[in-house]
Amino acid sequence: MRSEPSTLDLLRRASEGNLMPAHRQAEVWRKIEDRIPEAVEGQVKRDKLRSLFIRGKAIFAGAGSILILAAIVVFAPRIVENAAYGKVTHNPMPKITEESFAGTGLEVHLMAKQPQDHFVSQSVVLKVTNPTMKMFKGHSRNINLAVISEKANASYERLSSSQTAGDPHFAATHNRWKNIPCYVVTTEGATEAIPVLGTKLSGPTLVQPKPQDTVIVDIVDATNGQILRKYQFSDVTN
Amino acid sequence: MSDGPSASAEIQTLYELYAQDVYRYAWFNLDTSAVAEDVVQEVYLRALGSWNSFRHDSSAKTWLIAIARNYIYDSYRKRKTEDAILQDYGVRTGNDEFTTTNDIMDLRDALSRMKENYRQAVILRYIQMLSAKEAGAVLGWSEAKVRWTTHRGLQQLRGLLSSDDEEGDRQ
Repeated sequence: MRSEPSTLDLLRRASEGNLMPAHRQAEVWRKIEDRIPEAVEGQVKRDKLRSLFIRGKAIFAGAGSILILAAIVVFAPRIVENAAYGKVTHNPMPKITEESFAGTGLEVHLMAKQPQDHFVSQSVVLKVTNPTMKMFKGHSRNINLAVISEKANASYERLSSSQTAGDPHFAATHNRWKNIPCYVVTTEGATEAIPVLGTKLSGPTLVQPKPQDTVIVDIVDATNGQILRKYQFSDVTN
Repeated sequence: MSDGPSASAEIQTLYELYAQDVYRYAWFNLDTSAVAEDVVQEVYLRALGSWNSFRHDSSAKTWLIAIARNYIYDSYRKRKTEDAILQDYGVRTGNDEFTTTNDIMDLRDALSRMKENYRQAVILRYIQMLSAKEAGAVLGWSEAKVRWTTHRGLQQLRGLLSSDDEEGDRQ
């Protein structure tokens, strides 16, 4: 076996001296020189491409930042506004907390409209014969149309499934409208039973709005068909 | 970008200083002198192209050897898939060298039979005379790994050279 010094000595000798003869070294340099213009030109092209790429990236980044800022400017107020209502939605509820309508023969029409603008149902669900009606903004998991009850000044908090379980019409609608926040429609000063739950309410044409649906509420003067108020609620589960 | 004439002048200076080292590295890693000369050419042209990106945080020699290593690895990768090119390179020959002795040829032959990592470590440390730190920079290893691998490489090299000696004695 080759001894330690001899192996290291061999390596040392390999590290010394010129393996490439001088004339070959000069020849190789001449070849390199010949190719320098080509190499420089190629490098110029690569540098140009790189600078274009960097510039393009900067432009895209700038445009992206502007878009993000614009989105913040446009949507932030809405989000803040809706957060104040305790919910975040891009389709805020109308800013109505209470309105009164006087007159006779008021009707409330609720319609569910799908996002693709197709009316699924146009059900007249409420007929308010009471001369005065109030609308309260509400957001409850037990809201349903039966809040228009025969009880004067009824509010949605007072209604529960146990209270209305005996009402077949209510029961029929209760589940359908469960978990849907909506405006609570109630009456004031009712002295007699209001035929709020007409046959149409439980009819097959009434469709429960889906979360993405738009619900339109019209308050109509039944005597002349004039729409007194029109409300539209989008994304009804928010 | 390389600044034309000034970069060329710098590269020429580096060529005069380190062409032999680059050639030596290529020669011990490849098959023939001609291929090693090609490597030298490519290395210096690549160095010219990336002259401005040379950060001078390693020595110019280390930088050039690193370029050579990358270039040789690229070539090896191609060669693995292209038998024809392998044919062009041919097998190791003993008659294409100018100043090498039989000992050195034996050494190159033994190195070629070593495990790749061991060969690189031994060539860089004992033939290129790089420090463990510099060799680590070329190979992307820690200094500790360089030292350990060099140690193991030397052991393997000794074994290969001694077996060659025994074979020579028998013949």
